[in-house]
Amino acid sequence: MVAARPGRMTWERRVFARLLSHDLTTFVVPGLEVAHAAGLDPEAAGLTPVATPRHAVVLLLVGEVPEELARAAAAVYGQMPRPRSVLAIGADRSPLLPPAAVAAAATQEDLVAAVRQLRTVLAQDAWPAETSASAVEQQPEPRADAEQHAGHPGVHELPSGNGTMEGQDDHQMRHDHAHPSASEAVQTPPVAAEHDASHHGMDHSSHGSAEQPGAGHEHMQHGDGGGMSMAMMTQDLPRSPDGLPMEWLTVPFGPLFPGLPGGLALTFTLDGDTVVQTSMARGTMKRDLTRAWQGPLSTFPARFARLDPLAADAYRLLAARALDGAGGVSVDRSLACGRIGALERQRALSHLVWLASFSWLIGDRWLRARAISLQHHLRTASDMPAILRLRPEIVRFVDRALANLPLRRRLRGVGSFAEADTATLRGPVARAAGRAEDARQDDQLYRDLGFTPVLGTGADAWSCLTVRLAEIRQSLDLIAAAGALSAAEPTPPHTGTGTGVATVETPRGRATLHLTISDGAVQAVDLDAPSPHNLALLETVTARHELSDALAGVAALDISPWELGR
Amino acid sequence: MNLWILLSILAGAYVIAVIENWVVTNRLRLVQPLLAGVALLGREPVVPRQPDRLLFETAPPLLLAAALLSIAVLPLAPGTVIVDLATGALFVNAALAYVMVALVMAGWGADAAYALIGGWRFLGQLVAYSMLIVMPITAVAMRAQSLVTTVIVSSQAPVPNAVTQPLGFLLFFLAAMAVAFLPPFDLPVSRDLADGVFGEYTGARLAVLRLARLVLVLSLATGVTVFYLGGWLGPVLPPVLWTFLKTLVVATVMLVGGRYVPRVGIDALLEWSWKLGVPLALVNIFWVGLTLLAVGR
Repeated sequence: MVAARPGRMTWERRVFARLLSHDLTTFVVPGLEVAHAAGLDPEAAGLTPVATPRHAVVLLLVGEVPEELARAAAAVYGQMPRPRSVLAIGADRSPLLPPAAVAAAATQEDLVAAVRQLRTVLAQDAWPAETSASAVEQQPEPRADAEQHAGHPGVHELPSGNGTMEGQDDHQMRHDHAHPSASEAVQTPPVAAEHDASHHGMDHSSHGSAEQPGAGHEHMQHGDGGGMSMAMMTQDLPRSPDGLPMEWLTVPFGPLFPGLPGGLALTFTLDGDTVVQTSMARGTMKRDLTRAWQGPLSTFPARFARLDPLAADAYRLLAARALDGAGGVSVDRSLACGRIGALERQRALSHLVWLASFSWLIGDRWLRARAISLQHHLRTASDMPAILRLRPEIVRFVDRALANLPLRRRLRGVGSFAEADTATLRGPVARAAGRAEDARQDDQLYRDLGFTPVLGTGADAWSCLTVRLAEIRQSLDLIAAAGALSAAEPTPPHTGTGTGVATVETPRGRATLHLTISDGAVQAVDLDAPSPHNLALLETVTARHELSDALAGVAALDISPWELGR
Repeated sequence: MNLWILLSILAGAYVIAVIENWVVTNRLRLVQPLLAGVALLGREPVVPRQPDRLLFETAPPLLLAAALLSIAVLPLAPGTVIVDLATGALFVNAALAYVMVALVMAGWGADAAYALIGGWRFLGQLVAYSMLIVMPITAVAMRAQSLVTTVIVSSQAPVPNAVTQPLGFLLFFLAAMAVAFLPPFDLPVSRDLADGVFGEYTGARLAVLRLARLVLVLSLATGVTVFYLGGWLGPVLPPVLWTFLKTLVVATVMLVGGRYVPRVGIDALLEWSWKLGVPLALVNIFWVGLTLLAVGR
């Protein structure tokens, strides 16, 4: 089903439609990083990712899309010009989104086939054929909840001068309610508190808090003939640290902002292009997992891995270890080595996927292209010899990235958290500050394999990058030392009752799982994941930073929104 | 004649589009830019809800006009120039100033925060590159003892300015990339602003913006060719072909070079431009003056 442009399909429109079907620009939900983590390469399949829904033809849904994120995706879809379509890959149907024009399983082969099919659909349905006109145009447009639309993106189209409602749709008409006036928009900064997820997609114009240039400065009363001095005009405006009165903007970055993790709903208050305040909305990724985790033991690792598609194997292993602990099962060395191999492979893949997203944000095309290529090759390497053959190429890439002077110059000092309290930090972020926080050093088998934590200096975005790059190299060494790559399969299903505790160093840091089982089923799950601990740095890495540095600082933390909402 | 030149400009812009597509996708697809451009015309032209309509609509054609104006005074061959102005070299700089006007209009007119910030960034970028455009041109004009672009080309008959003024060449080359907001100077249209000033445009308006940018790249590459690489001068081949080849090489280097470095920060750009670039440009002028006094033209 394609949201077609109004009008009949004429011969010239047929030409446009055919050409359009060969230029499939796509906006990915929840994010490109999820697609890559699932083993998908949209670009190789013929889809070109874009940074704004305005330039997208296809909304690509990958995997699970939580309800709040689906609302954001609906707002994003509404911003896409027609003809537009939805392509669902391994994603369930959401009532908040239009039905997918094409749906397929989450494999690269199926994605390629689905894209081919989508081209045909778009070429036929970009403008409705006479026989199907009513069916296509009656398809209701997705509607965002009116309450949540306040201060939201959602560019609203205007009727064209020729009288046809070019570019207008029901969704936008129903939401033509007043945006806050300029005087409301110009305000003292909001309290930096968490609030309900109410920011969909990205800010595309007419954002409630943005200064409305067309409307002018109502509060400044230009038009009443009296005139005001500059001092009077600016007396109520917030003051920048340099004393200048500026009109501050409150701008959302997320939950579907490319370059940041999908689901991370940030709001920056900007003084010009400098961030003065940061807040984050929670609840975007709520999925009621705690209830879903209860149930049969045999399928618990797979259900638990739903927590974070970016580190599914790591959480599967965590669940397996917790089950082993609960059942009092000891694992033999070969299986343990296999689990280490699988975990380290996950770590290397996760860091490469992160690097691809980070490079997108900072504009380093070579770094991004190589990271995507290498993670694809590493993911598809089917056995140990294949990984060992890939190792030299990955090591060369890591060395070249570490020696990249412009990259170092760009990231040094960006997102610095050197002055922050690092005691509660986890994972590569903690290690970037020089703190040897790594669950692997408590594991005897890791020590036997020669593991020592990779530590960085500087506690900034460059340090985070160097730690992750070094860990990619280290992970390959550990895989070679472990000599096995088996998936984290649980030992035979447990029965009875018990409690188990397990800790795994996931790609983002230490995760600890407390498990209670009884009568052969999981009863209670308590998870301590790493991302919530690193959230404490959000204000530190953004406040008083120029916008691009603030975004790079946030991206360097590699926070997984999936770990924040369950 | 002018029609042929305009068609050549469009053809040159298309070649640059092919090169850019190749740099981005690693695939050489000769027809892709044409397909993508025509496909854009078939997309719904969306207008933001409360734009400054005048600025929003004017920005794309203004950017195209600025690019065309700047290339109008650059000769492709002897006698092959749309307008041969007595102050052609200065006119290039004047025309390029409207690039900033167009981008700020696009940023403001869309009534969108990301676009607005993109426009601001380009304002800062202008402050960074503007001196590094005009000061090297000054040195070039000193050697030619003229602001006429055809004379500037002819003055390079013995040796191109890239050899006699390497510092100016480097500074102008980098500043030209900044004017065209090519990576790593793509601050106004960066991905961390969701395509910034271009982010709210769709359909035909976006097609005009993209065409304008291609013509701008062509114009600046031609400017580098005219001011530093001897323009049409060269043996054997027809003059216009020399101009075309040199421009192609310059444009390719501009497009490829940015692929390997991250986007510069606006503060770093300003710092490097004013603390290093401008002093070096002054050194370049001083050096050219000394050589002219010592050696002559």
